[in-house]
Amino acid sequence: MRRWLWGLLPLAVVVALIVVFATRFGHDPRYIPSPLVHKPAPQFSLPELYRPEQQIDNGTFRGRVVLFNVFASWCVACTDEAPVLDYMRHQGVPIYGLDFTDTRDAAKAWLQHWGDPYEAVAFDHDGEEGANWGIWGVPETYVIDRQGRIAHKYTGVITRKIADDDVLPLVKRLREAGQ
Amino acid sequence: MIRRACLLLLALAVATSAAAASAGTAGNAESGPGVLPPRLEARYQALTSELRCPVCQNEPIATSQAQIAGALREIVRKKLLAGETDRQIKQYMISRYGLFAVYKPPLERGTFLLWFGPFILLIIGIAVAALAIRRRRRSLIDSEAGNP
Repeated sequence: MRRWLWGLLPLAVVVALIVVFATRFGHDPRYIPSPLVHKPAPQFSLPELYRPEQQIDNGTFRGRVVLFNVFASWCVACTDEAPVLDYMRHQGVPIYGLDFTDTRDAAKAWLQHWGDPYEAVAFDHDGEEGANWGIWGVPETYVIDRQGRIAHKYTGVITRKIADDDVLPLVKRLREAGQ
Repeated sequence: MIRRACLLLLALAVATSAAAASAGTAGNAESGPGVLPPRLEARYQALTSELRCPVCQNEPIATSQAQIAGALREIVRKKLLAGETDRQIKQYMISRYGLFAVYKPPLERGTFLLWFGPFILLIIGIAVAALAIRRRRRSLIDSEAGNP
């Protein structure tokens, strides 16, 4: 009887390994969950891209559900995202831009070519404010709720499918919750 | 020697930059240490090689060419100049990027298995081996007793 139980041990180990592989693998190992989600957005203040005398800061978003989208003129993937951002803007979602480690001229030219979906663009020339937001790649998109908390962070390109299935419903939920 | 290592890293960076371009890597990040008094320079070097670049995940921010690594180096430099301790700076990085940001995560509840898991497995292994040996010895003694 006991010998029979010991014989089952390798099977149990294999089953345990299958469970581990099935649940833990398949995740993108490059995906880092942001510790800032569900916390108040970091304090920041940056000059506007087109109007350097104007500052974009936490107060700019206050009281509204907004998207804060990190982009750069050197970011190849951002060109894929541009039409989706434009689509979400037409669905009535205010989008603000964070131009990350860029020059004003390059960013303006890029926006002119690929379309400018932003209410305003915070210009982060040296990338330090962006780093303070925990940015690790471009594009990234923060969803900010009415209280100025980070409700969610999307890393990488938001596709039309992600926008329809995920972002727009989340924005709707946050708007209703914050009434 | 250091120069040669830098050149090697640069070559690696160039070779991988095409693949990493969409993740935000570009070749013009400043790798210079900036202006730091010598007493802070050593801590700067140590810290930036202990902090992990979030984009090119197998590189410390000290050597990474990614834009974000340059920005993080600059933040470390400013915090050192502002008199923050190594602990405070690492804590800041963890608050922004999670435990992922440090190569040597602190010992706490969530990292207990990471630190002690191998030792726990070793103890289990020794216990299993000891049991098996004892059982085998006993069955040998039994069979000897059975066949005088």
